[in-house]
Amino acid sequence: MAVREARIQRRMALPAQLVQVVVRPISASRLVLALIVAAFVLAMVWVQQTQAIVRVGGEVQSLERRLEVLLQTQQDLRAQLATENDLPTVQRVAFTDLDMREPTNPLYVSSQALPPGVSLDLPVWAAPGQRLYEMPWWEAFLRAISAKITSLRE
Amino acid sequence: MMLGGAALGAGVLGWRLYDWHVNQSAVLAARGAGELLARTELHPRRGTIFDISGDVLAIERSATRVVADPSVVHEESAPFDVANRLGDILSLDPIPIANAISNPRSRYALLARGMLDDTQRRLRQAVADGELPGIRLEPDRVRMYPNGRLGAHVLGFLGERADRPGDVIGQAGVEAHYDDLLSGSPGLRTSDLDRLGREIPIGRHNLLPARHGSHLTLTLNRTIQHIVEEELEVAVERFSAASGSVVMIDPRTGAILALANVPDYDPARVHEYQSFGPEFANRALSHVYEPGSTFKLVTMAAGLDSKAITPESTHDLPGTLRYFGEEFKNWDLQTYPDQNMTSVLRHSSNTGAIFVADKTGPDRYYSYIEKFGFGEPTGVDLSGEVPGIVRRRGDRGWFQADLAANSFGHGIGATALQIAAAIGAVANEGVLMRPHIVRAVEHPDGRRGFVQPQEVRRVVSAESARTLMQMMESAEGGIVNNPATVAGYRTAGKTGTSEIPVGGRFQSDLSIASYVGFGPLEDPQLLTLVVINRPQEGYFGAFVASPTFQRIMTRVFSYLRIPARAA
Repeated sequence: MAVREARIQRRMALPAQLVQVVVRPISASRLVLALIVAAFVLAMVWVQQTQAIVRVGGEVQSLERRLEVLLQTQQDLRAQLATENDLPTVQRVAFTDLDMREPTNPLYVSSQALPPGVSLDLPVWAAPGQRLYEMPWWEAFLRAISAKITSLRE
Repeated sequence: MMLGGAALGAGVLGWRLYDWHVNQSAVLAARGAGELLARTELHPRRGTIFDISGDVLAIERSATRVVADPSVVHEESAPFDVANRLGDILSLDPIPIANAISNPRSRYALLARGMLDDTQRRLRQAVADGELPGIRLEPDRVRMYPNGRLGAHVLGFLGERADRPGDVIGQAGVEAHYDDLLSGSPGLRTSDLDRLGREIPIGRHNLLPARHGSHLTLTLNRTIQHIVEEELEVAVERFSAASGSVVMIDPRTGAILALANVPDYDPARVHEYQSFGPEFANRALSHVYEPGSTFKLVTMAAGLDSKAITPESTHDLPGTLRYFGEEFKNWDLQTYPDQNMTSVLRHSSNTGAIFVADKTGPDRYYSYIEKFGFGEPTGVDLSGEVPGIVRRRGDRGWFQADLAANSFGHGIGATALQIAAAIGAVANEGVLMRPHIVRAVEHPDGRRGFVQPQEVRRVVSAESARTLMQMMESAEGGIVNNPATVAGYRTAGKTGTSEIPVGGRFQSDLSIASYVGFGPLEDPQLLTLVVINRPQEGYFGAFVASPTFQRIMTRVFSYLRIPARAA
């Protein structure tokens, strides 16, 4: 009998054989046990996930606080730098330590080549400062294209 | 009986439960949450103000404030000992400190704010050493203006908010006009508390971060502002004047490069002033004056653009002239027969200006005055601007003779900024630009926006503007030893002298002397207006204001390396 059945099974298609193996009647007690174990595992996973999120959240908040402290320190340093580079101080240093003087002939002719060190001929308060950053045309162009693509995609 | 009592009790209890859970649910829940919730407000950092070169003009810095718990002071020490020690560290009078901590039942007294650097260190040391019982140090912030009084009227100052003591708000200048951008908005941290007021570690924690203020980059240039302030101060002192103003703009864009008034104030020490006196007024925007002969440029522009006159139009310039019942005189009482319109400017002839206004006609003339922006604020992004005073034909109190007075800048009220902007339109080929002080805004998230120059309107044609510029240059060039001449550069300008009315009568010994000019004429980049109010040592704009214009322009041309004419 078993030999015949085995022969018949061999003749069955593989999916049909799998169905015979997997779909078997299961007792109610086993099912309940399986559900309890699954629920327990899921609960453990959930607890661990929550713990991880809380830890990460705490870490993010702590980093945010540290960043805020750093930014405040940067601001304080900038303020201190500005205080030590105020115009009266710069002028005093220029006219005393650096022995600079106002130019006797203040005319400036761009058609002629500048003699070496001509900027020192001007007092420090007349030295040009750092210019404001202006976006070059190609960067503005690329940004415009990028914005257009984004708006189309949206 | 007992059953009835139990039923009544159950009914009362039920009704009470219903009342709590349904009727008062929201109120009670909110009250409970409030009592068991710690709320900490997070203060935003106020934005920094930079000049066009990136130098800091105003910045916020963290500092320390000194507060006391007077009950503890009285428990642990003698209040006078604490007051003396604090007075020593803070360099303050100890008596007000002793008064502030004199009440032993009080729990809080603010003693000093904005402590920095060395003072901060000494305070920390003294508190750590137990020399100051009942005194504690709290974090504070202070607004710093590193360049002192430089650009005070542009920057403005801060004051305490009336609705939220301890918080600040801009009270003048850029600080006031851009307060919303600079101040940002506070954040909030909330967390659950237990019944004893302790934070619950695994309770709810919410954090709404503070949105810090945006940074502003001004069109102002620190060095140019310094040059202008220095020269203005010299002029006011030299001529023993009551006050003075200088406005320098780039006529092509309307950007304000410098704006100065004397007297001025120190924005970091505003709280030390007894009252808000005249030094706090930004006269260049808030003071209306009769512009005098500088206004002849407006009259001439109107005449040229309306084709009422040409530069070659000739007219006798009588020393005195009766116009609709009123007598008008040239400043030198001289008659100049058969003169062209350039000579009207060269001699600064009042009767010549009346001729031009009369030829233009009141309707067209006042429409030009309106187009030049008089009688309305320029719209500059600074607080405290006034519109000026213009009476047009048809307005109450306007007479035909007013046309004559207006033609040479009398009977009309304008601010220095209005004059600078209007003459800037002539330098900018007839297009009026809106004066502005902010060049760029940098938001806390790093986005940066640039303020684009704003064209108000075309006032006169480019051809009329160029013609007037040539006339101005020619008129100025014809003056021997002109104190406004800037060696090496082509400039054009006009003097102005206006008498000051006191009690309805003009005082012949009181004047407002002014000069407005621009250059280099190949591409006018700088326009400067100098106004000196009530000089005691001089009277005419040509002698009082022109030299200041010349000195400022010489120094600024050199600083900006604007090429001079090849010798």
